[in-house]
Amino acid sequence: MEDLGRYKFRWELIGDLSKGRPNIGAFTRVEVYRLMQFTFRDIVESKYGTDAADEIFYDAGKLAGKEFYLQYLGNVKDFDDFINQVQKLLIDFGIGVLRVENINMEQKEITLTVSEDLDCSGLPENGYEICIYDEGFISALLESFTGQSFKVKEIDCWCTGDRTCRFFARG
Amino acid sequence: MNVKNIEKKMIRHINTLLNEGSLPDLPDELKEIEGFSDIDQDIRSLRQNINSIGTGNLSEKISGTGYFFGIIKNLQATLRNFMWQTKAISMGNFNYKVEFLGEFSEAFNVMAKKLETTINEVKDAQALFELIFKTIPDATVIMAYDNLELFDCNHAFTSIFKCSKSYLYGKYVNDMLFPDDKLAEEQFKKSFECPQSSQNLSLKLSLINGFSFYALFSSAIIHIMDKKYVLTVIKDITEMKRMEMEIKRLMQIDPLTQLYNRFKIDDALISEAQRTKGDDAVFSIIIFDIDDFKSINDNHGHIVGDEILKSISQIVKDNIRSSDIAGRWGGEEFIIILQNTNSEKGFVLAEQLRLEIEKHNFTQVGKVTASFGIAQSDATVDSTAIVSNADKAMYEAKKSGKNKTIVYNGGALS
Repeated sequence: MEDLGRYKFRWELIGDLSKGRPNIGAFTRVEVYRLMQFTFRDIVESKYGTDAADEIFYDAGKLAGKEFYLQYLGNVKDFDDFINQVQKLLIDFGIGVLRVENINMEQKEITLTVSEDLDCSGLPENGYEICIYDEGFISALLESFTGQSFKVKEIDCWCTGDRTCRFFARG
Repeated sequence: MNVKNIEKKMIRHINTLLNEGSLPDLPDELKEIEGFSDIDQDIRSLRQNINSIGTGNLSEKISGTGYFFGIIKNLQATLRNFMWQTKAISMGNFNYKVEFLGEFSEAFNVMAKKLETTINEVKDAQALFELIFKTIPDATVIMAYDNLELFDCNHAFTSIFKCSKSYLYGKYVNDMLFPDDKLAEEQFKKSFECPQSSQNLSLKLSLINGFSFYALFSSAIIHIMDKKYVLTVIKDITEMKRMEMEIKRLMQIDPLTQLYNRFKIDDALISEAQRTKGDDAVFSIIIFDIDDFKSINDNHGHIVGDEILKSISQIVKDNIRSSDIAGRWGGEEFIIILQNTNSEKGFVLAEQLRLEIEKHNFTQVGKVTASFGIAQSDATVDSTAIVSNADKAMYEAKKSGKNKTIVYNGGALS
């Protein structure tokens, strides 16, 4: 049997939630998600430094985006359908409200915003963008749909005093 | 400066920043108050940002943090998204919806849905029109009202000219349809300018490509995007015209002899009488009757009799002039109208016919003769009287031995 590594991601790791949580259901509170993320981020940063922590979170977001696309966005007709499906899924999963500000497919430039973001909305202003996991996640969604590489950078964030996170993607 | 005065100045300054159109400089004494310069700068930035958004500038970078800046940034993001959605709709993309903007979302989405429905209805109507326009079997053309330049046409129209639609664009339909016929062109223009007078216009067309046919035009003035056009359906009625002419011909022709029948001869007599009335012109009439035709029928049967009628008709056709009108007057009696011919000349032709009949060898019967009467029109030009006179002359020829030609000459017979 191939050795996948103990934590090699596969959807089985998420488990059967209907079986495992028959009474309290599939949802948890945002505080719990953020508690895990920021404690995890703290430990990674303290052990490997800030840049490495950011890189790890970007790559993890990218892996999540890739798997998310395969799991939930298998049948996408066109770009409009892609955006619509992602918008609905992000709302259904309580991740955020995705909106498009600009799409220029000839230049391969896309500007998106995510309001009520799971990672950052409501955080104190600290002067730097924090949604690095989201950057990787969005990048993987775009790459999975277009088949082309996309670099995504958060240019505005709740933590920099904005009320919506703005991501600039360039292919 | 005491504290009270400073407070008053601060309040006045902030009030001016918030409410006045012009921006005051920050007084030096207020600059010294810790944090006041930042508040001053934030209010100035907020004014600038609100002003930008208020004037539709959504690309300006909003710098600053805090609740108010967050609200303005959120508003800017919302408007940017709205602008993008509007652009998408303007390009016919109705796949997106405005979400989480309360009543505005609902109003915008209802408007977008209505617009989408309307556009789809227009597209459907356009597709239906194009389908009808393309498949209509008659040549259909839309042309500019002012100069009759081709705007659009269907396949049936291009088929007439045996060319593509793109070749016809820029051409003037009147030049294509009526290249050498100004009268037809005028009639065509009248047909849509005065639709009450002639909604359906029938014309013989000789097209620019040399093809000619009879056409029935039905035209109407239409408006497309507030511009006037003429919609014309051209139906090829050549076959119908041919049938019409054939029916008309059959109505005038005696089926056995292929000469004109009584109906046509009556008509021709009236026309000839009218033509020569009040004029110096004269015309003559020859009436002739086959001698002893009853005994031929009795002895040889009607089929033989019919053959004799046909043979004599052929002799007539072979000997008359192109201007002469020959017909079967009834039974074995024939009539010939001789235009611009007096009785003397008529006599010559009658004699020629009589001799041709006399010398002709008729199958089964052998020799057959005929008696001829001639009359010339007089000043009264009464067609009935002329026929009667010719008839009298013909009966005189019968009475006086048959196989003769008698001329009616003012009451006398010669």
